[in-house]
Amino acid sequence: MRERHPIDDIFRRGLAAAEVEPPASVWAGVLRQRAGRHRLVVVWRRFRWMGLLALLIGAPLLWWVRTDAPARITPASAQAPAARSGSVNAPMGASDRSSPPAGTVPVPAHATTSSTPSSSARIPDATTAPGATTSRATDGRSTAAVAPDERARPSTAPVGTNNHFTAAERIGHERSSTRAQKVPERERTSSKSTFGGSAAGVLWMTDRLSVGDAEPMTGRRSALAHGMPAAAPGARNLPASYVLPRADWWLAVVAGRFDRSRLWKGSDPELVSARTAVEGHTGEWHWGLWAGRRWRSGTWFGAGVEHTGGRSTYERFDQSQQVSALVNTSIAIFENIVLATQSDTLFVVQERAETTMINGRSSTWRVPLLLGWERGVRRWVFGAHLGLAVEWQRMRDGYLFVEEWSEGGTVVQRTERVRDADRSFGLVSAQLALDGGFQLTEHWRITAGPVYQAGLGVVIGEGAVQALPTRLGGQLRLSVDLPHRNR
Amino acid sequence: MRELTERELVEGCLREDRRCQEALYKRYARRMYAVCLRYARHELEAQDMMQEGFVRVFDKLGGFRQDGSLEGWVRRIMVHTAINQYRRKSFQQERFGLEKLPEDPVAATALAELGERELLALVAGLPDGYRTVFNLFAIEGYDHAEIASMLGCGESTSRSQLAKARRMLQERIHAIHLTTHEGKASDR
Repeated sequence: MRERHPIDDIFRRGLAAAEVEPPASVWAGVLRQRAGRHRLVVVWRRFRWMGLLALLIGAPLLWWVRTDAPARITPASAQAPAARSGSVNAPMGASDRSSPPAGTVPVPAHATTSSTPSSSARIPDATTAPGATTSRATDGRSTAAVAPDERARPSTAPVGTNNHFTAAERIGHERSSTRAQKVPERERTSSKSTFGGSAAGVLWMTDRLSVGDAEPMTGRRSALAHGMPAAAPGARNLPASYVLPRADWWLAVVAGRFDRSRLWKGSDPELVSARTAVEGHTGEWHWGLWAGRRWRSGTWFGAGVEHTGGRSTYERFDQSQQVSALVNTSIAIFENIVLATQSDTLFVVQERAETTMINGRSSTWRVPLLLGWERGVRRWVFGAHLGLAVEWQRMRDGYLFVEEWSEGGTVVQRTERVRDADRSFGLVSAQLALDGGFQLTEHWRITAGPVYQAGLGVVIGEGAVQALPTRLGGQLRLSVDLPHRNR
Repeated sequence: MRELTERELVEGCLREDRRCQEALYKRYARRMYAVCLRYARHELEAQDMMQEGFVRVFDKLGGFRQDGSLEGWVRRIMVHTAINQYRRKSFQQERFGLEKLPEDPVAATALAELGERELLALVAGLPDGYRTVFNLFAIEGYDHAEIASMLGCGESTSRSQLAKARRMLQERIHAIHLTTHEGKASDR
């Protein structure tokens, strides 16, 4: 049951229908605030189709740019189902992985030969060196055509094909030869020159891809991880020659939260001390876009645009004294003769104490130039960066101190609210941060760490005082390495 | 010029008709400002609250179902704006030594002598938490469970803050009453 109290009743009766005329500035503020929001809505309505169009065009373009530079490698395991199904056009190197029962071995049209009586496929001449023999493998399941000298040096390129290997190709070739020696049945693959004219090279690569590579990486890392040699003419589905880039361009979105305090400076020391006394620490949200370049050595530089904004509550206790003097003069007169005069002066001391609380809003645009260094440990990245920034601070909503001189000569300082005031100033600040990151994918990385920013000096200022901010907080950064284009 | 009906006002505001918006504001501004003054500590805060509240009213007017009173709906938004503001600054803990406050009931005559301005000043003089709970309970008519969910505190907190608010108001009214009577006695 609802408790009742006489105090409640009296206040309800007195205030439920109370009416007080608001100042005209409130309606003006409503209009201003709505006009700002309305502009955003109009901009969104006007440009949303362009944005969607840009997204529709940009996304495929980005996909094309990313997939164009390094070619996609199709692992042997991905090709296996086609071979198992006995497809005539099954790709090379597939049939020997599935190890089907004797008699059901699929025979790719251009690929293998077998000494199994049921099969009579021939080895194409292109890779069969003179004097090649057909031998049965020890497990009795398959055979491979191997030239006698290939057993000793199976990496020898076939006559008439590209045998001008680069150093990288030779490394790959030698390794593939070793593999071919150990597992001769693997050579029962395409007789066509697929990898620098060497079927063994293909075997080595497909073998590497199939082991522990359920989802092979694409692009630069896949090439590096698999030690892939440069592609030869006629290579199919393999990357062209790849040169490790010296540096990557990157883009990043940053967001963070800061604890801000401000050091006031200016030509009016009283105002400076009043501001300093009133302000405390303020929370600020921060976001921005950065772009930069990262070198292999771990050094990077970046530049960007950031916005920092926050609300804060200021509480000021105004206390003042007003002294007024009342003079009472008494005059005793007798027949136009002044007999006596007396003056009493009464001093009235009036003390005023008032607490004012104001919500202030500020916004800051920053353009930082950053220099950093990082080191990777597996997929983790650790580093630090420092930088300089130009800031443009704007007080969107806040307070002003007003000094008044009373009749007695006393300075009365009071606080006055200002809305949407355009009080702004520019300054230079420094930044120092630690970074700890994790490489999410080949290109995407997330980084976080503590950030310290300190204002160094005001370069453009309005009014008698300006503030140098000090911020300490955390920042989260999501960055993407931009893809390279082949040249 | 005839006065616009609520429906016409709402439809005009939804069309972003400036005259309708101004008419709606003018119709409810005085009452809503009194509401804001009850929740605010001082006039500047009330103006801030009122501005934010009316911006929300115009933004959310599309969600107003025209089966209820528009004034009630606007008032509700104002109250919620005030609560949001209170929650934003609720980190400021206020502690008052209330144990020594008098328990005597206030004379009805003392209350009858108080006008709107005095009552508003009394409410505004309460600490933020007490003021908000007192307003919500005594004037808006919410119960403690609703207040607790709105302010994000426990029901017991709401009860104790209401009790403390009443006692603080009693003490202040008592002081005013005494001053008034002493003044009258000295006049005789």
